[in-house]
Amino acid sequence: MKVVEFKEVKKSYGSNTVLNNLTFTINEGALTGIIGRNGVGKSTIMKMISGHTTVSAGSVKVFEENPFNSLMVSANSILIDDTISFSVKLTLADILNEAKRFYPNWDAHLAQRLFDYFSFNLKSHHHTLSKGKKSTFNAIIGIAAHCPLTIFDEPINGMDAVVRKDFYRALLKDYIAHPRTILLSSHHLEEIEDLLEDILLIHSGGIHFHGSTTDLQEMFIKVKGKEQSVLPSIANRSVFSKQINGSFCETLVKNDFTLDDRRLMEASGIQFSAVSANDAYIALTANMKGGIDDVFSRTESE
Amino acid sequence: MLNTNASKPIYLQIAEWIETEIIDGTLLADEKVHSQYQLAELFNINPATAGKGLSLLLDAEIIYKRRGLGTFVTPNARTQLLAKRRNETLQALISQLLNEATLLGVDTKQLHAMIEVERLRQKEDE
Amino acid sequence: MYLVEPSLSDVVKKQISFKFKAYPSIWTSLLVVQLLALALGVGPFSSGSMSSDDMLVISHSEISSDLTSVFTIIWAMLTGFLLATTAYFNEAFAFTTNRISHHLSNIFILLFASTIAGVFVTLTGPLLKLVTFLRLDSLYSEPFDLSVLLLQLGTAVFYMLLFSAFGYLLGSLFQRVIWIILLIIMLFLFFFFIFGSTSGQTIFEQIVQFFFSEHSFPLFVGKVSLTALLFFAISIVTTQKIEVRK
Repeated sequence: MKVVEFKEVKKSYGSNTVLNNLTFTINEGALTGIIGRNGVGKSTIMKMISGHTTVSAGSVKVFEENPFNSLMVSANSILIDDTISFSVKLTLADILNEAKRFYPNWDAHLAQRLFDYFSFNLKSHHHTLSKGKKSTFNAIIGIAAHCPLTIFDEPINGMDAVVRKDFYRALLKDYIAHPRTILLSSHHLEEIEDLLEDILLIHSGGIHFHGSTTDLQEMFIKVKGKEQSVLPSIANRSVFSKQINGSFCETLVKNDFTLDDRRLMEASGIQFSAVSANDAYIALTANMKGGIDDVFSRTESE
Repeated sequence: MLNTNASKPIYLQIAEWIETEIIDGTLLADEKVHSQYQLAELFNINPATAGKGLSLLLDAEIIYKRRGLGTFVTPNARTQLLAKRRNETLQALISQLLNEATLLGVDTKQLHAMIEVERLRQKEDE
Repeated sequence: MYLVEPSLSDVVKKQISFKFKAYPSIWTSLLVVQLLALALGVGPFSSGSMSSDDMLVISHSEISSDLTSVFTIIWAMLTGFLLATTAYFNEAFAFTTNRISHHLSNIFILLFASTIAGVFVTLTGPLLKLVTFLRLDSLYSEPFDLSVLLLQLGTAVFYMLLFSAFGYLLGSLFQRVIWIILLIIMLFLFFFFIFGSTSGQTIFEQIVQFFFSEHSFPLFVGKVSLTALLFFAISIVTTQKIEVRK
């Protein structure tokens, strides 16, 4: 079943168009990462899916319905981000109890265990929690609610490294135990690429890539070896990154070598190695003006 | 267990891990192989990625599927894998060895001698 | 994948009990307002007069629950306004809701609050009489009549409803565009004080007469109900496209 369907969606704020002609589909059960630079529109997309924000043009369908003002979508989905707010009078215990009443699949035992594991106090109030603690608490709600569509927008904001690892692990374990459609946005792809089945890459208001993580990784390949053997063999290709260490160099290029080409190159001492999704993402969205190193080399030569 | 910084994609590493389990006898013929979910939990990766590794092994007929029961080790998987390892992996190591030897100016005779020395040393350690 | 299909009434009920739990200050503030009005009412602000001639000195104080009514009406308007603000809107969206269920749950709470407020205001009268009697030993008052009391109760409740609905409307419009409320304030001033209208009365006086001078209780209820309904309807319609949790 198509859980999320975007058709030529456009979103503008005044004269500023954030998203343009966005078309994609997310299928049931896929743990999908929505990846992109800061400010590219990931939160906007997620808020459109959850029904909190309208579209300027095009259509959004969640569970085959327009999510805006839909009780069905609201009851079967949950958006976890840092805009969640509660009345100052409610304690964390109150919030957990309310969540239990609203969400039919709420796992109270899991919520309690996670709550204790992350050292929360039942009598604390949401608005007095530190940023990291707030994110952690919100994440607990997101996981324990077991909504058929669970959306996390930058859930690790403020979490320290240990808590982050625990969160990803808890999410994976619960996803395996209770399969559902999970959307996860981050601009730290390197941390979550192993967790993701699919990646939706947003860049410059549009979709740069939508497919499995492995497909993204296999779009590119690293070619390394002695500079004098590597550079000629990739002569007519776009090089997305190049690192030179003495006489050795490592380049990142598109992965479209034939098997024979590879064997030939390997025989002359050239090594091929896989590319992480994060490196592939950087390659795909590389600034045409050059990389950060160029800033320094240019100023040096001036 | 998994080298996330490795030169090989994760699902390939999963496949090779299972192959090693078969070769060293941890997984015997017709024994049940880990499901993609178990592998996912074990290696902290997405089940679909783990599933891709299993698909590789399925295609190579190292493992087979039984409807509703899971995936199992093919009877002659071990033999197959030993041959593969010999042909591919060992072969690759040999060519690497020869490349390195050439680089350092070590000829074949010296190489044989070095191999013999190492073999005796390893025998003594046992 | 099993999807739950909640009914509007289901969600409204859940939102109502959620809000009851989350906003106890509605009731505490009501109590505070009552106590404040009472304290001020029997204290220095109670009116009194003395008249005398050679033989007789008569002094009397007037006790009325007007102060309580005024304070409570202001409370009702403020409560209505608060419930319609952005912060409360966003808090409702922490859990399952849509814009309509949010409004309906708020309306129910205002109805309930109006009833409680109406009861308090109505009972203030008898309470003041009791206190005065205990203080002064004598009291001139209208004889106790249950039907009058009930009428007062009904009137009070509907007045609270009217003003809380008005406050809710203001709060809702305030969310949309702040200058709309400025426009309204300007309109108010324009009509009420400047515009001398037909039959020698300003619009303000006409509106007051429309409600306050209605002798028939059913008609009064009808007028207030329709007006409150109109206010709520405008509130709902003007917030249908609002984006939340930004």
